[in-house]
Amino acid sequence: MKPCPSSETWPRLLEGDLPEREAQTVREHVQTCTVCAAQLEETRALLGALAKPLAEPDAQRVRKVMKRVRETERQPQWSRRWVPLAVAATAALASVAVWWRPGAPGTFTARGGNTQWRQRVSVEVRSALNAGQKWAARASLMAETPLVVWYRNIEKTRPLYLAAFLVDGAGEVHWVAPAWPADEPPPLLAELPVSDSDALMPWSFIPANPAAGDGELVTWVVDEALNVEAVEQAEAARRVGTQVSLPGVVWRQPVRIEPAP
Amino acid sequence: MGSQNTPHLTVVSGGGSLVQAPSDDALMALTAGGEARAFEALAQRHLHRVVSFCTRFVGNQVDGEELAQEVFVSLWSHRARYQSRQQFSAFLFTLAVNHCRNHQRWWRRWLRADEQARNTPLSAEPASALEALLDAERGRWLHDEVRKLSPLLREAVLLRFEQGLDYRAIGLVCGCSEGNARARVFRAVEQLRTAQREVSR
Repeated sequence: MKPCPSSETWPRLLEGDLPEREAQTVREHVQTCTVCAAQLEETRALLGALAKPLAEPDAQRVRKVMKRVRETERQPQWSRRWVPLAVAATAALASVAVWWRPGAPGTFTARGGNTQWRQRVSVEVRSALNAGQKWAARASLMAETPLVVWYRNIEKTRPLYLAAFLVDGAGEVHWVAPAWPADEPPPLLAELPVSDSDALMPWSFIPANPAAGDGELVTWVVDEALNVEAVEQAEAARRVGTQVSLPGVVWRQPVRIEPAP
Repeated sequence: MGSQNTPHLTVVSGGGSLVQAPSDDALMALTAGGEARAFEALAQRHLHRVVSFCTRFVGNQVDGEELAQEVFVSLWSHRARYQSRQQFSAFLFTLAVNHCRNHQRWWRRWLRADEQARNTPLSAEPASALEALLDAERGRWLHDEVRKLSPLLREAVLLRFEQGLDYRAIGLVCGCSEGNARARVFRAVEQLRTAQREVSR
């Protein structure tokens, strides 16, 4: 029987750091030597214990860090030479404020929609690759761009449901939300979570080979748990000139879909 | 919904295999553009990992929590320095290691932490849920033995086994070569194994 390997061997074996020939020799040795087998198991247990996290995800901890970040943002970062300019700018803004009075503080204004909805909910599909900027008036969208959904929903008295999809250059629908496995039937629209602040849906979606050309990113929020087919039919009806009323609010963003490179 | 005669559109993707969580890189790119919501998503995903790392590095939960908060404030402050396709974990833990090293350089904290480690008996009552977890994971000895490693070995072994970074990323974080990172990790494991053998005797 070959001599027992040194203790340094065990972590290197578990980490795949030994040449394959040497690793094979060590593995064969372990099968015949109970002492070395025990040492290998102890090392494995040690590394496993190190891998156990001490802390679990904690929403309160995240809120605390976001509060600190906001405080950091509020701290003045300007050098002294900008202070006179800042004072002048503040004075100018104050004079403008005398005659221009914005809406009530805290009012949440969403894009589009009717009055009943616009202050309760807003949803946007954005590209994950352009730093989350709002789309330009007629933005370009590369075919393989991952899309993410930002939303805010302060409607707490009834559930709202979300439909978000890309209509490509050929008029085909690519669903962003809800998303479902291709081999399963289309689901009902998913409920839009309540969120007092802007939130990000926990997934991104890459449309599968969308046809190049003029398309639209469509976001629909309704107060019925419709089947996605109902939304598709309403969308199809609109394309042939028939307006179908859905119980909700819709936003449309024209995009020019560029072919994949 | 809709008229019976309305045409149907073809759904070309429902997308099981296409659905994926936004990558850290994508979220960090959004963060670099000033998008606080993407940063919050990163915090939800990684803050507890940094708490875990810092707590094990400095040896107590209070300082570990505080350091992790500082790391994420730094991440926000340095967001513009992030380059897309850089390994996000390496970027994040470079900040974490720097904060932990700075923490260690303050000699008063050194003294306090070392004194605390020496005075804490193995069978101490858990002071918090985190301390209870520490006791649950193979006894408090592992926590103490990790604290006894030199800072360079400690950060390397935690980055490898607690955080799962590869050796190339560990080299980037620790400012050494990949081979050197590997050597530090194995040396740390060897020292922990020696302590483990003494405990089991």
